[in-house]
Amino acid sequence: MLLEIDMIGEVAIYKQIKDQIIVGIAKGQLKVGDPLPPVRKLAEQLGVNAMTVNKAYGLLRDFGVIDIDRRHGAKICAMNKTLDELQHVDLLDLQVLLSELKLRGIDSDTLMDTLETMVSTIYKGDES
Amino acid sequence: MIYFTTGIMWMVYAVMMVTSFLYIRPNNQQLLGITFSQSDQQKPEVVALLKQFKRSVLIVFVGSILVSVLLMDDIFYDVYEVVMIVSFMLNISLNWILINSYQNKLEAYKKAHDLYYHNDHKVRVDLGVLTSSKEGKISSIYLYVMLILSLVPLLIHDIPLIARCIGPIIMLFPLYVYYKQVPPSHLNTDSKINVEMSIRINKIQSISATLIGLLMLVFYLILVFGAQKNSPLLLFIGSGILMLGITLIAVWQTRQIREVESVSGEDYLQDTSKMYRWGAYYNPNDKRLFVPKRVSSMGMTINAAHPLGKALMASIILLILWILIFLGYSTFSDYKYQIDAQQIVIDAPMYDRSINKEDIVSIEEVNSIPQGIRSNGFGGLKKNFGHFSLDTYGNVMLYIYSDVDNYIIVKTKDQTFIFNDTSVDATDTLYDDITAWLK
Repeated sequence: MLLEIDMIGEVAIYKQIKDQIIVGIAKGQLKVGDPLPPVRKLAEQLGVNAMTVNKAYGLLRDFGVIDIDRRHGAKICAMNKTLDELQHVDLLDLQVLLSELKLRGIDSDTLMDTLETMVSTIYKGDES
Repeated sequence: MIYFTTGIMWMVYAVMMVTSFLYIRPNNQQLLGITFSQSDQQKPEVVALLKQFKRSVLIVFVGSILVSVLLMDDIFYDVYEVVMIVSFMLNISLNWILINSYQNKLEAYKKAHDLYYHNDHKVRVDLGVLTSSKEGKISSIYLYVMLILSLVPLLIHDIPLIARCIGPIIMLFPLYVYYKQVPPSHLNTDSKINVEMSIRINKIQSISATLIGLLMLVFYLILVFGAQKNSPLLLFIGSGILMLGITLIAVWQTRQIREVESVSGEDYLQDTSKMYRWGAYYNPNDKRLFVPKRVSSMGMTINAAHPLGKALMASIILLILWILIFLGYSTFSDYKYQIDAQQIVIDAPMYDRSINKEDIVSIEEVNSIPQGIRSNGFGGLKKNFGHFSLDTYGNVMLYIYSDVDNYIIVKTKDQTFIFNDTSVDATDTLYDDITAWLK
């Protein structure tokens, strides 16, 4: 799976790493059991501080999609948190995102079309 | 000595030429480190520019060979080391200027024809590639066997300890090359292709490292044997094998890796020219200190925008300047001998010594001295000074002009000094002065 990190954009690098890995898992590009590179190696290749990658991995572990073992490193795991545990935080994030989109002038029809395309892309792995 | 040095220079010039030619071998996305798509690489003006570059490099090579032959003339005898270094640095500078000049011409061509690719400040890595760093490599056992073999000369006690330790130290370099992962420099959108490329590159890298290890071991053993036999010819052969071998391995590795990367595609072509200043990588947005060279598989380079990078580059420049100053001073200044009441003071660059009168055991004047090797000092065409190890005498402090066949040997309780002056007569006079002072 390819990570594409914008080094001078507004989004923090740790967030880009975390978000792209989550999308990668959802799309099926990363599967349960797949290893993630060691923190230092990924940091070296991206040219960032190891703490940045560490933070991203920490967030992924808290989200419930990776296990981190001291000897074997980080691996993708089956989602280990229930929807109830995540729901409150996710809905709040979604509310903020939708509000931002509305304030930027995106109408609901365009938003629904975009959402349908995204859902079909991310969920298509489940149907095959 | 002069033929040996000239031979080494020729080998270095040949390596510089081959390296420059490697830069213009078309790979999929780069010519001379400048991004070009495969179709743009075939354009007649681009091909013509590369032919001109090749001709210029050849002219520099032939010119350097001719200059090195001229330097063998007697008129350069007194200043041989300085002019040799200057001509050597001139060759490197000319090659560097040519590469930069033709890089600018290629950039100008791209600008004139509006051939620009992405420059989006994005860094791309493939997670699958980073987790497959050990796959595909040949066994490291061969390198560890070579490392053990490099320890054998430690048992030979008539060679200086420093020389005996060089082998195991230089064997650490191929081990570093073996374990260092070199990811594909250009990625495909398909991660499976990237992982497959990475595994094949790992194999090539591990084979290169093993061959480099073998080469270094052979070079080191020849060096040790040559030092033991006092044979400059063996040293020359060893150096030649090392340089030729490393060049061949580099050419082989570059070809193999470029062939592997031929499947990488052109989705992520990136213009990188704005990240370079005066040929050096300068990217303040890149936090790495060492980055891959823009000509893939040719090694790493320093990010001059990194604070440590600036310090490293300044250190390298200062080191070169210091070597030039030391060389110039050593070449142009004569030894000075000052006899005062209690001691003789010998003034030589970085190797000043004094000999106390009460410590002197014996003094003699001879017409020849045995062969030896330098352990720490300056060994030039005209002058040799510093710590040497000579047959019969063992470790000595040497301060001699090689073209003066007259030597003064002073033995103290702890040390032997062998020195002479600018001519046979001046040496005779110095000897008479010292013997009179001793009475």
